[in-house]
Amino acid sequence: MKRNVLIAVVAVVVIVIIGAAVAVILITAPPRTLKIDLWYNSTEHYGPTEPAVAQILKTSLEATGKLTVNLRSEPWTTYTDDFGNQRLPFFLLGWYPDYFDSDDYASPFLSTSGALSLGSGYNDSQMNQWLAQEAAATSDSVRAGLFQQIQNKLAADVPYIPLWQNPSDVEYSTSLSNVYLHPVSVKWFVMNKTGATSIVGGTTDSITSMDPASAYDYFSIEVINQVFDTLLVYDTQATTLRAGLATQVPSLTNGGISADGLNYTYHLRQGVKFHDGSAFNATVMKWSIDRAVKLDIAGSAGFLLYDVGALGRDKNNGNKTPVGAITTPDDYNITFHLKHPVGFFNGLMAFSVSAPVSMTAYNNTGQQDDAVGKVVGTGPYQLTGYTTNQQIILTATPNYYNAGLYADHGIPKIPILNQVTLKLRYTATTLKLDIQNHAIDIAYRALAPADVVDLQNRATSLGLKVDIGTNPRIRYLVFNVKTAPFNDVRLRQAIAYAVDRQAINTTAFLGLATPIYSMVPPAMPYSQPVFQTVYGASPDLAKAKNLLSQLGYAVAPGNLIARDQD
Amino acid sequence: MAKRASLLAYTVSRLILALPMLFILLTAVFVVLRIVPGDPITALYGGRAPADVVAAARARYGLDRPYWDQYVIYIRQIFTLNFGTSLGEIYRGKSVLDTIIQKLPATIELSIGAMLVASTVGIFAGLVGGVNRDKAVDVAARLYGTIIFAIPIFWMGLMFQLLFGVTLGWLPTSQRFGLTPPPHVTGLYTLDSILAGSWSNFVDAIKHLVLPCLTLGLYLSGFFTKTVRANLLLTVDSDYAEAARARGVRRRAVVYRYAFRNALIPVVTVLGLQFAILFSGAVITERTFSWDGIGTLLLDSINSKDYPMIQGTIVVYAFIIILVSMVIDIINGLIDPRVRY
Repeated sequence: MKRNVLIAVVAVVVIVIIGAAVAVILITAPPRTLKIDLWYNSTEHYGPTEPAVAQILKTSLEATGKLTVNLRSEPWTTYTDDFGNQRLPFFLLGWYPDYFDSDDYASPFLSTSGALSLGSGYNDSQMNQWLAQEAAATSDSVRAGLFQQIQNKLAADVPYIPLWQNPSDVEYSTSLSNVYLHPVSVKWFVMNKTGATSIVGGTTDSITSMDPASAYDYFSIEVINQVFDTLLVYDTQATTLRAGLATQVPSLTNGGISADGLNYTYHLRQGVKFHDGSAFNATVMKWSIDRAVKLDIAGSAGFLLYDVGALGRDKNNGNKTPVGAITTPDDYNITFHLKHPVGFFNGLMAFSVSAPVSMTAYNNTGQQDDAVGKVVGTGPYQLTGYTTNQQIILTATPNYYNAGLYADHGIPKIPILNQVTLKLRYTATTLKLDIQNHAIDIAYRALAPADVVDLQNRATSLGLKVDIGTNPRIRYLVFNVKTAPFNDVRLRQAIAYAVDRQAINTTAFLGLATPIYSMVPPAMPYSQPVFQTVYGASPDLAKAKNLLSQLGYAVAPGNLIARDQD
Repeated sequence: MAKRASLLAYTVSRLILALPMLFILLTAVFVVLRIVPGDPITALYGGRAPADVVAAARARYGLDRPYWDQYVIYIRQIFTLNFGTSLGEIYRGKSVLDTIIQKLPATIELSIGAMLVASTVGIFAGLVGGVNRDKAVDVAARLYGTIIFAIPIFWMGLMFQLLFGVTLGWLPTSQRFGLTPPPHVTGLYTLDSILAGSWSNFVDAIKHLVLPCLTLGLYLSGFFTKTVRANLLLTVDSDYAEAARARGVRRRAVVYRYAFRNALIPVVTVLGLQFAILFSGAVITERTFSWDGIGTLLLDSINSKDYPMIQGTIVVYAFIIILVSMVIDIINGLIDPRVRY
């Protein structure tokens, strides 16, 4: 009997101990959280700050207490392949615009085909309709209304979270003037230097190709914009278009754009010659556009003409634009007939891929070599020296046809300097050494943020000027809205509440970046800070937690992720 | 006469043996590039172009074909010396062979300079250490040999740039020339300046060569120091050296006339092996000094998964290393009578 009592007592004690232990574990164990992977590029495609940015995002998301973020990274070639094939669920990406229209910050992300290329898989018929309408519309008020709706829906659906714009900076000797940061390309032909006729610049960038039909990277286009003119060109600092090789900017008012928005007519300047002496006219213009479309060199911007620009590409016409897509009624008029209205077509005609090339110097069977005498445009500078990956020498074009282009900006005659030498492919470290040493007059792209701040602080003693602007490239997070758990909009919204843009700016960019609250950045027309309106300017952890709790994450153990996917 | 004939037979057999080696290497490169995820064309567009534009471009470069087809085309192209055109971010559309030929002289110039520094400094340090065994200088030489090999190249390069470029302002910190390169003949700027009779270009080329050659050369010298020292200790203690000393030859003469010269024989062998290390070191050195050579090219190509350029560059690397090791073997045979083919 006694023995049975003893057994019973021991059994009770054991049960109580086990029960207590379970209770203690249940009470004190940290709540299980949702584990998500955040991907970023590991090969500095977006510069050296990327790992820091990823770390800051991880910290701000984990501050909700309900998310565990696992940082993962890949080299660029793998990254593009993975997100392009919808294999990355949640990742960091960047976008540099091709043409300066708000459309280029909307269609590529929110249209079904664009979202597929960028790995988000976002697909919304209402959104597609609005995008088609804003792209075709020419009325400002109509477009403003459409962009308001587009951005509101962007903030509600959250396929992307806009985060920040990188700083853009240039460091130069105080003896230089007219150095203007411009979103498209810095204009070296307006720069001046006291008591000198030539300057030397340095960059970490390299040149892919100086053939307008091939180039599609920042610095190649930068150089092309000094050597080649386009029908329309940009202001010295703003993104306003003005006449280049055309005599005016086509509009509905001046009849350059037809009422249905399908035809764009450009009147060409007469008497313009290429650097090799051959004449510029409508035939050359048409041939050059057809050349870029026909060659469609892999990685080039040719698709901006035949696809985005709606000119078309016809197999039956030798892969050129279809017969009748470009007409030249006479030597000095050219009309582009689009398949559907493209409101920003003028912007495309200011892009380097649309630059006319000399028909005597170029053929339409392959990419042109980068060599002196082979890079022939109509621009203010000519290419007079080129050593691959090392140096480019630009020399003023004699009797440049558009010398008074910026006369209304107080620049009576361009180009100002006789010669500009550009040293290429610096490492960021040596670029900094050379500019502070005055071994070069100007450093443009790309110093690390800490070096920019250091030079800024010591600018006076070093005899330098440091200008800082905003880079048109936007940086953002992408969700693959087709894959769990990100197919739940509430999770995406919770993350939108939690991201800390200010921390990214102050920690990774030392305050030089600009936080953004819409994919259409503040400098562009129709931009609305919708994410600020909906989710606040700084992290709202309470709301993020609330949404995550609604989803069933981290409320109690055992209650996790066991929920229906909606 | 007999030795010369056997030398010829040896050279021919080495060349024939090199072929399957090259073939295995080519296959390995092909397989590795295809196993590693990522696609050059997709990377070129980076999500900017619509899917059909990307697909059309991939088809144009044959990247949509089965791997076996791609492999056959690749091998056929390489054996007809057609390395194709680049698909990379920087060299897109350019002929692979032309690009390699254009960059090779820069690397050759850097390598020769670095080898000069490495062998001079390394052999000298090894000699001093070996002669003064276990004395303070010997300890210093041994420490030098170990430490210099452990210092990362980019850091050493950066320190030289700061010291000689910024603080002292004596030497340029990057690239191969100042304002104008000499007229192009061989691509070796020192030689081209001499051919053009331009003293200023020659000085300019040398000035630009100093820091990168010093960086890479010192890095490699550690290995020489250790080899020379170790061999010298053996030869100094060898029977013939002792015999010489016993016959009253002064120690100095024994060391320099007998021991040192014999200690150098294994160094020649090491020199061959060092070439492979030299090339890998050149990649980082070129990057640090914005030196536009094959190393930079390889790094760029790997970064953008430029299949044709990576393949071409590696074939050239392999060819050079095979060639150099063969030449070293032959030289070894000529200077060391014990070696028989």
